[in-house]
Amino acid sequence: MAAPVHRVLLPLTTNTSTGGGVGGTATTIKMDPATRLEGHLEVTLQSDAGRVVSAQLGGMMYRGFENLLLGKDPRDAAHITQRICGVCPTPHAMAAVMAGEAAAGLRVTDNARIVRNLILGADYLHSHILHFYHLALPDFIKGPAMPPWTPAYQVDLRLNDTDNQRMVDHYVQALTARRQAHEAGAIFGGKLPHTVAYEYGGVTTTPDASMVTRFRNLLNQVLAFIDNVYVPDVDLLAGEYPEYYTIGRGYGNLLAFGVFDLNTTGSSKLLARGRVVNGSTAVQGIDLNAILEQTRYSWYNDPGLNPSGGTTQPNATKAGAYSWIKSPRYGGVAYEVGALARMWINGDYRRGISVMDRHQARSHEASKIAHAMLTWLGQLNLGSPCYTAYTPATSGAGIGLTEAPRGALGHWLQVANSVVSRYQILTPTCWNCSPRDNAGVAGALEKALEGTPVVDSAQPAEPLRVVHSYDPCLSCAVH
Amino acid sequence: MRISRRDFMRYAGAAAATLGLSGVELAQAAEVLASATSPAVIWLSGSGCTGCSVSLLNAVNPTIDQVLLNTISLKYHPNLMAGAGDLAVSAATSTATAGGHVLVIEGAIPTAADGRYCYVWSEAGSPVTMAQAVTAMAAKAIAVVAVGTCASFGGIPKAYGTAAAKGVGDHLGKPVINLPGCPAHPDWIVGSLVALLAGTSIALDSYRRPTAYYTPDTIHSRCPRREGEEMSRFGQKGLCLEELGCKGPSTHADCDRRLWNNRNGYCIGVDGLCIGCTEPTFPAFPLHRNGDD
Repeated sequence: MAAPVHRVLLPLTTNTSTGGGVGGTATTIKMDPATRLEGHLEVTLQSDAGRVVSAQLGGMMYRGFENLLLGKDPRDAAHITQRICGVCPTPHAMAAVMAGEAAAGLRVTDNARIVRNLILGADYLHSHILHFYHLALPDFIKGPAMPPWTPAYQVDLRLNDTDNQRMVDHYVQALTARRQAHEAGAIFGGKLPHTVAYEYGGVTTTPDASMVTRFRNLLNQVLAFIDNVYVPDVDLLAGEYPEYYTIGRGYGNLLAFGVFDLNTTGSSKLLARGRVVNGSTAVQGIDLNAILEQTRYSWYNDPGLNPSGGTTQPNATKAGAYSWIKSPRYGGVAYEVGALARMWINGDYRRGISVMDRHQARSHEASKIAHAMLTWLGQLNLGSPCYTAYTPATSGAGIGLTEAPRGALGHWLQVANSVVSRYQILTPTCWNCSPRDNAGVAGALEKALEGTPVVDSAQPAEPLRVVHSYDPCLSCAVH
Repeated sequence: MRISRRDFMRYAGAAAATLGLSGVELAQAAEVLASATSPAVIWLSGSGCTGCSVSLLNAVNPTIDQVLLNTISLKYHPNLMAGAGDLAVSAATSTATAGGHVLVIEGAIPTAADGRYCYVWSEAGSPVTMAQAVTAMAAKAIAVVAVGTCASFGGIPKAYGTAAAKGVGDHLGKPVINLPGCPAHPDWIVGSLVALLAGTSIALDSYRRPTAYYTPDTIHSRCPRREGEEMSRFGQKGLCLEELGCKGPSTHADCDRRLWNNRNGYCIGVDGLCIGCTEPTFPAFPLHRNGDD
């Protein structure tokens, strides 16, 4: 039942790896699907002497959201683009309304800003908890002898019975905690995933005291789980797997658009905008014009364009391509995005860049956001408006920059004759799981996989841990 | 791997919760889930967003028949299963070869360009498309359930025509049970699976949606805002949203009664639009109308 094969493995050597001196002893390892992540990710590895020497990542699905929106009412984008991803839809709503409001010259009220942050924060808490316990943790613990935990790789499982049991118990508790995060978000958002509350001009919701009380009660339970269970569990795992502080580093280039505006202009954010090169602590600014989305190895015909002038022209049979993900590069360089990038750039976490550092940064970020949400809840001014009437832009352009749990997210909108004339979306996993760029340089996760040990090529558990540390969201990446 | 009964009880609890089967008697669940004869569930994801799987995780206290619980064993689910790569694929293909399973589909099925717009996995090193996988997995299934609007009717992937995405029924050319919604409500998913596995007769409407959830009358017909003042712009609490584009008048779902996320809200409840996400026409553009149109 195999489809026609129309993809070829790239040459073994990459831009920075061992120079190809592996003399025909390399083993090709294909992990397709890479499970416990969102969407369709094909991982192809070449290993030699028990280490990955080259990695190739394919995003294996394309729907066409950007082109679907052409000619549509720009306000519809907040609802449509959420359907890019059911794990992190709310950031797309946020980016869409920010882009539309920028085009219309509109600024929302402080109350609207806070409600948006609370619904978005709920999405982060659900997502980070889901990621650690239900997506990543099964890489490290003994699962139960029943589906969906069997079959499983049986490689390098170190936790003693007591600790393993603790993690299994917490896997179950985490199901409740992440559900409660969604329930809190639904109080203001109506439902999750896919809230209808984000509209140009603010939010539809008018919060009242009862909603605030319900939200606070749920948030307090989620917060207690994060601080008392999630954060210590990451420490426990890190203690058992210390070498994962050195595995999966990648380029060390980190980028964040920043998120959770703390004022109506967005000049102050809970997590700041910026980028660093090669693990530096010197945070540099971001020039959006430096971003190009390249497609030499992607199933698109577009040249490498900036999103402000970008197009998306699918070509499902393009020779030499191996992914539906484009290759965004900043100044020609690949960057990693996500919780570690945000926490590093914001100065909250700078222990290192690795598999375990990503888990640590994510758990600490969850705590930081949950505590901030409690503060924001107290800043709501009940009775003050959450919506501002406005005149839709008949023409113009706007950019919405925010962060999904998985990293920097941008929507580039252009309006002509009151309809969408261009819509370009740059998602976190585009950065992280991009294929090689026009110069043949590996994407962030492709690079991070190089050097990863593989004890048993039939059970590539170690590379899968590296993959999961990035929390890939493939539906976002391909959109 | 051998585990103690105590461990197994915990695992059974995890499985029950994962499947939205919380609130069951775990002792019986353990025996059920351990049963080698449990009919299997294969959950395949195509051109979708995983939102229906996430929604399923939001399930709370479904009314679960103990006998039904005994029949569920989640053999393949790309987001939840421990195994990866060939190990995961073999779990699906061996189950499908044996037959007698329930096949759940999330996401649409692209058919253009030989299905290249969605690959689900590789077999013997070669990529397999969603279209191929659905056909193969459905051959010996005892039932096929389309979860979400993409799987039911094509949804957003179909709306952008290049990939020629289809719903499951269209692709297979035979009737399936459709549980649309963007996402589907967890009760709709769990309740329908439970009824199906119990052998209970499920009344379906002309779009093959269970009428227990997808009500013959519309959300608008039950809406207390219907007779009142119209909202002229968002942010006006409690008013009718029809002039702003609300699709409650053409939407057949019980959101207003069942509510979402453990009864914490629904779209119109936060003075937002019903965008008609359970309907075959979704997404019916434009979603918005100007209040003074």
